[in-house]
Amino acid sequence: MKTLRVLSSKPLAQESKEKIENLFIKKVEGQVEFVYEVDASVIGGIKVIDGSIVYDGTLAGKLEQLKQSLR
Amino acid sequence: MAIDIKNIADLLKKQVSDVKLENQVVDVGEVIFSGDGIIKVKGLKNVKYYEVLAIENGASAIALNLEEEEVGAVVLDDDGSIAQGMQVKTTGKLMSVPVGNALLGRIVDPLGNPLDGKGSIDTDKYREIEVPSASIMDRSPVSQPLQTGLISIDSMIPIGRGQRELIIGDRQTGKTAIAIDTIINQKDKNVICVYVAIGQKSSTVNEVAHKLEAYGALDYSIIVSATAKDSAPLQYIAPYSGCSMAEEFMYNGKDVLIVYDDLSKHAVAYRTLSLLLKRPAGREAYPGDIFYLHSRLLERSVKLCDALGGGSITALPIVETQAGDISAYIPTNVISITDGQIYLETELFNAGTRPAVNVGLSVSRVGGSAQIKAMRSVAGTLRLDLAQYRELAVFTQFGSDLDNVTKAVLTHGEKLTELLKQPQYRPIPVAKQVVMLYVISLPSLLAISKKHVNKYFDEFLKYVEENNPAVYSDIDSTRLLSDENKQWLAQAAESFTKSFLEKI
Repeated sequence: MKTLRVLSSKPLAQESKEKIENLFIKKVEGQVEFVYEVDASVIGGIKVIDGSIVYDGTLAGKLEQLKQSLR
Repeated sequence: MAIDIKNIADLLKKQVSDVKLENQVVDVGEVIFSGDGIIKVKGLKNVKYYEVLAIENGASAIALNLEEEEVGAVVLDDDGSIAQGMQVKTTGKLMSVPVGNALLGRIVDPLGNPLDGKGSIDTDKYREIEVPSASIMDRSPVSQPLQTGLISIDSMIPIGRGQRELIIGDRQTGKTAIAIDTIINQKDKNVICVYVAIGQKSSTVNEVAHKLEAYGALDYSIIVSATAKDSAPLQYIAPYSGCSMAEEFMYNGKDVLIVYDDLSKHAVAYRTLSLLLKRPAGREAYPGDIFYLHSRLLERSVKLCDALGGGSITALPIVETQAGDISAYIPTNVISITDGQIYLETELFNAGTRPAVNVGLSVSRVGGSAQIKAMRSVAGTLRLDLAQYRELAVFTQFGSDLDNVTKAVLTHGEKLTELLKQPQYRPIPVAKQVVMLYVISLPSLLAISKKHVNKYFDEFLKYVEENNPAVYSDIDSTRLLSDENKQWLAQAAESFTKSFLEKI
C-alpha cells in the first residue's frame, strides 16, 4: 500500500485532485493512497512525493533551477 | 553610464528567458551519517553508480556504494557543515569536468575550478571523467616519435605517440624532471601537454608551474592539481579528470602528452576512500580493484586510427618505489599495464649520471618503430656498447694491466656515458642528437678524453650550426642522415678535433 504525498500552496479543487490521481495510478504499481498537504513554501504548482522520488512541478523548484543556472 | 546599466539589464533578461525551466523528477534522500569525507544517505532508490549528488549545504558528492538500505557517497568539497538529516538530491548527471581550449595555460583542480587566479574558465563543453577507452578497431599502431629531448631516452628507450611509458624510481631520482623536460621539449611540436599532480606538496606544483612558464611551455599545457591538502576523493578523481581533458583534444585529432605524478599517491588516496567506505582490504590494505584503478586510466591513452582523426594520448605515469623495490605491489601492477619503463636509480644519480637512467633495466616495448630512421641507424649499437662497457667496468681499477681491446671498450663506454649526461631544462632536438651519436663513434674522437666530451660537443654542435646548418634541417625534413652529410660530418669532426685539442 503506497502513500503518495501531494503538496500544493493552496487546497486543490476536486477535479485537479482527480487529474493527479488518474496520472499517478498509472505510474505507480499496486494500491495507492493519496495524502494532500498544503505547503506555502512551494509558492505555486504541485509536488508529488513517492517514497524517495520527488516529482517537482512547483514554482519554488523552477526558481531554484533558475538560481542554479545563473551562477 | 545609463546605457551600461540598460545593457546589463537586457543581458540578464535575455539570460533568464533563455533558461529552460522544466518539471523535474529527482531522487531525494537524507544524510544518516557524515564523517571523514564520507556520507551515508537513506533513500535515493534510483541513484546510479558514480552519479553526482547535491547536498543541502551546496556540496557535491559521488555515489560509490549502492547498498540495499543506504548509499555511501564521497564528498568532493567538504567544508565540515554536512549534518545528519540534511537533504540529498540526485542530479541525474555522472561526474563531469569542463574541457576545451579555455583550459590551456591554466592551473585547475580536478573539478575544473581555476587555482591560478587568472579568472574563471570560459567553456561550455563538459566530458564525463569515467568513460570507456577506444575500442580495439578504433586504434592504430604507434608509429610517430614523441621526442623527450633527453638523449639517453630518445636513443635507447624511445617513446611513441600513443604509448604508455612508466617512469619509476626512488624519491629524488629525477622522475618529475624527465616529465618536465619532455613537456618543455614539446614546444612548437603541436602537442598539448597535461600535467596531473596527485598528492604532492603545493610548493612542488608551484615550482613546476613556474618552470613551465619560464620555458614558454605553459601556453600549451594544462596543470590539474590535487595536492596533499586536498581530500582523498579529489586526489582519486584527478587523473581521470586530466585524462578527460586530454581526450577532448585527442578526439579532435591532436596529439596529447599526459603526465600522472604520481600514481603511488593516487593508489594511497583510493585506499583511503575504500577503507572509509568499509570495502574489504586486500594485500597491503589496498582494495581488490586497485589494479583496475590504474588499468582503466592507462587504457585511455591510445593512438587513434585515421578515421577518428589520428589523435593520440601518450601517458607518462610516475611511480615511486621504496628502496628500489620494483617488485612491490603497486609498481608491479603498473609495470604490467604500461608499454615499458624508464628505471631511475639512486646510485647512478648520486654518482653524477643524470638522467639517472638504468639502461639495462629500462625498456620501451614500442622501440624502433617510434624513432626516425636516422636515429635508429646511429643508436643501433648504443645499448650493446653500454652493456659491454658495464660488464667490463669493474676492471677499470686494473688500469694498465688490460689488453687493448678491453681498454677500447672501456674508454668508448666511458665517453658514451658522459655523452648521455644532460643538464635539466636543456632538451636537445633530435637532429642534434643524431649528429652527436654519429660523431662519437668516429675514429677522430678517440683523441678526446671523457672529461672533455661534453665541452667538445657543446662547441661542435655550434660549429655545425654556423658552417652547415643544412645537416640539421636535412635530418628534420628527410628523417635520414644522408651519406653526403655523414661525409661532411666526418671531415668536420677531424678538423674540429685538431683545433679543439690545441686549445686545451
